[in-house]
Amino acid sequence: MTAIRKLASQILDVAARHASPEVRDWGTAMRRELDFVESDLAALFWALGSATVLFKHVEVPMSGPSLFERFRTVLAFLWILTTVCMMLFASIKLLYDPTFQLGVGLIQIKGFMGLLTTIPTILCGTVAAVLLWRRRILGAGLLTAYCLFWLLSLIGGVVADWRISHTQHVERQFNVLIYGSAGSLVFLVVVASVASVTVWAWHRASERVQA
Amino acid sequence: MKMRLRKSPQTILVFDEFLQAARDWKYGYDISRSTGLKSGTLYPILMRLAERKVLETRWETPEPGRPPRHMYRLTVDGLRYAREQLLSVSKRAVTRPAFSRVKI
Repeated sequence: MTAIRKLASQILDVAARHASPEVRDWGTAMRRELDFVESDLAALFWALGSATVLFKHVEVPMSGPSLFERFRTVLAFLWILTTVCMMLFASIKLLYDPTFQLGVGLIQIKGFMGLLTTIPTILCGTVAAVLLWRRRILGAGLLTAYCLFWLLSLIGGVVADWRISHTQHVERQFNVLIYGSAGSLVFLVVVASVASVTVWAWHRASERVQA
Repeated sequence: MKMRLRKSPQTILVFDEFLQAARDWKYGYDISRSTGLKSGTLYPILMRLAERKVLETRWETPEPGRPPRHMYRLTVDGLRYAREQLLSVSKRAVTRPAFSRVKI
């Protein structure tokens, strides 16, 4: 069996499996006919056409998806977009702007070291989005917590950078943001966010186990 | 029998194919080949016709090593209905010939 024909069979198998009970017999009928289609390409088109017919009869659950389910894909997409955009921005700044620092509170990273922290964050953000989309809530939550930490850290860095470039008392302003009360507040917000996201992830995971 | 079916050109093609050998059972792929209709067009027609009892369906008797195929043929009522439909289409074609609006 060629790869194209195998693909055609798999498409029809999946479509028949997910079709509503009243058309499942028709799905089997279409699948059986597939074996009699001579050319591989014609078989693929046969499978695609049949799958379209079957998917038009897909069973819709009576209760409807929950609010979380409905926005899951949108959330995943937005999350991936935010993480990637912000971390790309940080990477560019860290590479080309020697004064730019990534960090809040006690953490200050710049240059290539900063860049090394942004790349795993992009990857984690991407994996978190995929996990969220695939309903692996615990993993998505933990990775999100990690990404949030670095995203907030980045925001702190951007604010510090802006202050440095907009004041003559660079040292004083910078120290206030990084070590002063404002920096501590930002650091606390980061810790609180990480903790709350982790708790939320555990809660969702335990709900899934109970279900 | 009063039936409300959409008389699309594709449905007429399917009726025509069934009327070639009115009481014979036919396979989906064979109908697709002789009418030129793709599976995505043919099967909704077959499903609709079967739902309205114009078509009867059955599974082939299974033979060892060969999975059964689904077969179709017109019911007695369906046969009459298909003939009426084809007749009305051919009548319409005669009363309204192509280029009838063209004045020479």
